[in-house]
Amino acid sequence: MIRENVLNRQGLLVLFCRLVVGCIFIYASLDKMAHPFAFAQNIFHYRLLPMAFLHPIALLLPMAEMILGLGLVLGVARRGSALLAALMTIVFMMAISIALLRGLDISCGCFHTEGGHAVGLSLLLRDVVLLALCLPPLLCRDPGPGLGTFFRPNPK
Amino acid sequence: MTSEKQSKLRFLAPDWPVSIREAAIVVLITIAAATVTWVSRDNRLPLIADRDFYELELSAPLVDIPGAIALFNEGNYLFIDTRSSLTLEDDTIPGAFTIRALSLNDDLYELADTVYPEDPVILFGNGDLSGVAHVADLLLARGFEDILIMRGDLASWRNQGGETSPSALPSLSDREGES
Repeated sequence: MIRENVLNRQGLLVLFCRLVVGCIFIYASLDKMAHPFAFAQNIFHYRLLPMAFLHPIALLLPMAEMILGLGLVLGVARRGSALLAALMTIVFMMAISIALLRGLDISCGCFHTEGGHAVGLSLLLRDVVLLALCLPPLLCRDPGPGLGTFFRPNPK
Repeated sequence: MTSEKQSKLRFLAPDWPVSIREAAIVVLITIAAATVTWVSRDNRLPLIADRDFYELELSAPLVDIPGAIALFNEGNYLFIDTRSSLTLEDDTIPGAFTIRALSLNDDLYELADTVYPEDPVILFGNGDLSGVAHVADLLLARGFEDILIMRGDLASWRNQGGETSPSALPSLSDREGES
């Protein structure tokens, strides 16, 4: 049964946040998936992970970004995708903060594995905005239009 | 007052059990998709990282194999085979010259009219970066400026569509026998 979909203000806000965060995560995953060696080097430069986790994380992280990005854009599993996106953003913020405290002059590895943005306060601010954008899809009642809303029984 | 607040926040409905369940599903799909992608790749990232690879201070930038193939097709870079175990039976990249750490001066002398320090070069070896990096250091000390190090070996090059041809160069042991 196709559910009647009325776009109210809340639905639009959730849709906007889903599309922005989803597209950011999908875009961020592309270069990392294409160049896993270079991305592993980016992660290594943060000097946070034990070597045993370096390559598994370099393989899993871009795939997670891609899948949760698709989930948010398509509106499938939006709460779970938004929760993971928020958690990942918090982890990124912690990694950037530690790198800043240690005075590391490294590339963030956020979107491009080579010649990317240097780690700095502006990155932290960008991640705060990204984290804020993760909240409406996670917390709001109205999921906004998406594949997940169409074939759901009408709650009458 | 409380009911007013409740009505204002009516649009919020955090559902943590559903969120966690969906997140777990996304994680499972991620693991499955990453495994399939990893298995289907030719140039696979080893599951266990080699610390030496990451600690190595390279004096020249790295280029991955697709990038090296693109540069090979452009034809602006000279390819240098640094494998010391190279024999006549081994394949190499077409047109590649051989410069090995153990016979660097002899190899450079033989190529004096062909390879100049101003030439942009890409060094490759048997996948062991430390060996190639050593040759890069030696070439930099001899005035070479534009050096790239190819990440990966000839098998990866071939697997990703790179051309190969017989090396047609004597091995180091042959050269020692001649002298």
